[in-house]
Amino acid sequence: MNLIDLIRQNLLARKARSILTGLAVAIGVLTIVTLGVLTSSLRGTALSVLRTGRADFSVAQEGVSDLLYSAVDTSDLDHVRTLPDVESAIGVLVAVSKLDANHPLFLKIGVPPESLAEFGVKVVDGRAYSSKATNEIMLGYRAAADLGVHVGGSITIEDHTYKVTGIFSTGQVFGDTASMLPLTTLQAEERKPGSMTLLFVRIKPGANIDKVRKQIESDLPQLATVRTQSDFGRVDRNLILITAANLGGSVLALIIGAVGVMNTTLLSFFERTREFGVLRAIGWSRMRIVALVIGEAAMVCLLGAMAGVVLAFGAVRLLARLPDLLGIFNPTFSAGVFWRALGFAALMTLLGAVYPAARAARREPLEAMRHE
Amino acid sequence: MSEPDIVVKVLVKDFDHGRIHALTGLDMEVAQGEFVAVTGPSGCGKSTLIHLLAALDEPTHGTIAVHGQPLPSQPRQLDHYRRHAVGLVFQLHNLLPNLSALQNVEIAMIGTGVARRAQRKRAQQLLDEVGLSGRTTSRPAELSGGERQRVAIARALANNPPLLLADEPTGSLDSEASTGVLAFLQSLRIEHNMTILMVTHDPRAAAAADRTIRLRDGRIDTEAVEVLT
Repeated sequence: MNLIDLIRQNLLARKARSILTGLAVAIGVLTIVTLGVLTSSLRGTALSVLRTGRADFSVAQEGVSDLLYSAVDTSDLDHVRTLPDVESAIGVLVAVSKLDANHPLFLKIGVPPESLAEFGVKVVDGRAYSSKATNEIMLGYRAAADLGVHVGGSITIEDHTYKVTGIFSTGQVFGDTASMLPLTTLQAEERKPGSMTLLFVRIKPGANIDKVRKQIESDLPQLATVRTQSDFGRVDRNLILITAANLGGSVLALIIGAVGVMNTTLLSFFERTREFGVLRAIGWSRMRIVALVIGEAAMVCLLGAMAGVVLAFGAVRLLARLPDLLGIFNPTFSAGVFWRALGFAALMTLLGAVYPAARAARREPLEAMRHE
Repeated sequence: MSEPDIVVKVLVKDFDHGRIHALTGLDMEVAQGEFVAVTGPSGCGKSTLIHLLAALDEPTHGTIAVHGQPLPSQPRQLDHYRRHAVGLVFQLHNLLPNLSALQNVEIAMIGTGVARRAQRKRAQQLLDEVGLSGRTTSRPAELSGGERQRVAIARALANNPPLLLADEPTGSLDSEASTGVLAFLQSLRIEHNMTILMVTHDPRAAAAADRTIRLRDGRIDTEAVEVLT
């Protein structure tokens, strides 16, 4: 028999308690992993908007609560285009419409047809819309497949019927679940003439990207440039809030899980004080007692974490099916998710078991053996 | 007589900040391979003596030497002493309720560097010796009082200690079970030359020992030696 055998034996002897504690840990891991995947996916989706096309960076209005509220004027676009190191810049307008109950957040992206290629859009079926057409639209291939619409067919969005002229691909899930139509048409529909949501800027070969970004932010202080994920909060405060909510939720889950583990471990400590005294009396060191108590908590936490990850898989799949999140929530499980769950379990063990373990080890054998 | 295995000199143990005097200057020697019974009225310091010899408590004054060495004071040496130098048997068996008889013996060997297979073999052998070869998988609740005490003795012997300290080992047993336990302790002395110090209230149990030391008010009252035939 070794310590692991004894730990296993002790947990099996208190099955109901071990399972309930593991469940508390599993719920904590479920919360943390699901929130983590959700936040990371939303961040990834948001970032994929900014990375659409082959731009070196994007430009949006600084400090808006949601990127969709960003307003960039045509004059701003013209100014950016005049900068000597800028090779090209295109402006797009992004709007959200309710298509039906299953697609409450259907994206419409207004792009001039001549800028489609530069925006990274590849027409895979049919043709692009005309620049002045008011009733022509292209669908991303994922959206077309989801809606069952083909080239030559039609689609009605909020009482406006469009003819589908083509199917496109952008290489981004976000873009491929959206629709595109002429910039001026969308501006008119949204009553935002001359306004765009984002600019996509490409610089000349050899030019310094950071220098160009600084130049734009200096010339147009109401705008912010975005190149990396960490820049994104500057143009979308929601993401900062979501990230903060994720952190808050994770900390709360950690505390609840740790309290659960500590409660069980302390209860076990009080029940088994005499047992620890006997073990000390027959030569077990304090460290071995600590290892026994922490080992039991760690095994429960580890099993709970594994169960939590499995539950999180299910929860994330369910979330991904929610109509409100279609096209926005594209979950990916990375190795980081598992490390996060493992780290969470380790932290819960540490927070929940170290104190009871230290108490168990500190007691003198005789004192512990007299405990009733 | 052989060399003394236990040498106790002017041993004093006070409790409750000196208000209670459990041992008041005890001098005692036990030879190697000797089976000694310590008797006396309740509160005379018998169990305190066992606890001090097992290094579960520290004396207020005086010295104890076991196997020619003073008792250790460093934690690591203390753990080693408790594990390898003495085997301890309690009045209440103090077995772990969730473990089988075999596992209760093996538990004393966890962390000693003995391989699992060797641990199992040793535990099995000890349970055979105490007459429990057929009860290895039974848990304490499934064993009789005498059987539990024999498992506890097997556990105390797991790491081959040269000294066995038994605190009222027959105190909670019926006479038949007591006879079995005492017979086994005698066989340990005879076959393995083990030094045994047994605290008991029971004159019949004391009679099984080579010698009886009677304590009164924390020191030796009378000394009687009975040689086993």
